[in-house]
Amino acid sequence: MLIGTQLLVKDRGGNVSRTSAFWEVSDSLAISGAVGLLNSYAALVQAVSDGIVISGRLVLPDIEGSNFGADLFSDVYSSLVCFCLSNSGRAGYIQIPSPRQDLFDIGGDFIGFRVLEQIAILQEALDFTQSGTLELVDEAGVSIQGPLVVAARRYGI
Amino acid sequence: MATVLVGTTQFTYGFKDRNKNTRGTTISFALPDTTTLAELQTFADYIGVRAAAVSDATYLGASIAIGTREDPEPTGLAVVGSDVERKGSFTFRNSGGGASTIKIPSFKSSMVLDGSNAINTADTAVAALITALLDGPVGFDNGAATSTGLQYEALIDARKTHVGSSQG
Repeated sequence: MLIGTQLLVKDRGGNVSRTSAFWEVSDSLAISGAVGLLNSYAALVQAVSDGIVISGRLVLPDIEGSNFGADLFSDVYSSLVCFCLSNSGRAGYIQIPSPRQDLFDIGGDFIGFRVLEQIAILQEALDFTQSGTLELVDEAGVSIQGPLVVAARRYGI
Repeated sequence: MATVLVGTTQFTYGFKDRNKNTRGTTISFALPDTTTLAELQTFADYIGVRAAAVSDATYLGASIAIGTREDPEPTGLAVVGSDVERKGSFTFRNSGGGASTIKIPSFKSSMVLDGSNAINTADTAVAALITALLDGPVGFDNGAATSTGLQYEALIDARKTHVGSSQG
């Protein structure tokens, strides 16, 4: 598998620039091992740069989907937003573009709890425990738990 | 100095509607660091297929990224004279017969040979970087490759260059 290691370097003026390299690694390499590779590359770059390496990023190969099959009335400017609870009591959310029309009551933008089961992809995600405990987090890195999806509705966003 | 995991793995899913408008949505997970890269891909697709099941747009695919940051967080300024527009440009011949270049921002001027823009490849740190790019960092068997998977085979050129940016 080909993975990318990206580093951000900052100079005295606060300007930031990125350097990237790609490496062929085993599919069985763990995240910790990939971070080790990133660390090694960062140390090598830092040794020849008088800027400061401030952060890094690992990029895996894209997963191919499809290029066909959009419904006649599909519209990515409409989104289904599933609100979730976080440990801190904040509401995180998952957004899915162009939700199916049949998920909604006629004339409504809310999804009833009966149909909500159909969109319980978050619960399914947590059930996918082949590698241990998975933890869903919001954009700030705060854990999302409890009744995962507490409400869902359609927005024109 | 070492980068550490920020704590989240981000899966970004792309969708396209009938009018060919595209939109991405990102879902973040904190995953055990023992998770393998193959498992990450399987997991990403697992979620993507289920997200696609409630959307009537086309599911284009997913991208996966893991963020890291320096720990401890650098608080001081870079040294006087540092400039990310000054690059150490290392050009390698790849296994496809072409040339590929890696550019290191704010390359140290002390590693450039006097009276030229050539990089001193005999410098210990420079030599270590070149060796790692060709043979792999310590503990890894493979050297660097192009984004299409062509392996780096030999160093062709190493010189200081300047790449301008809008920020100066």
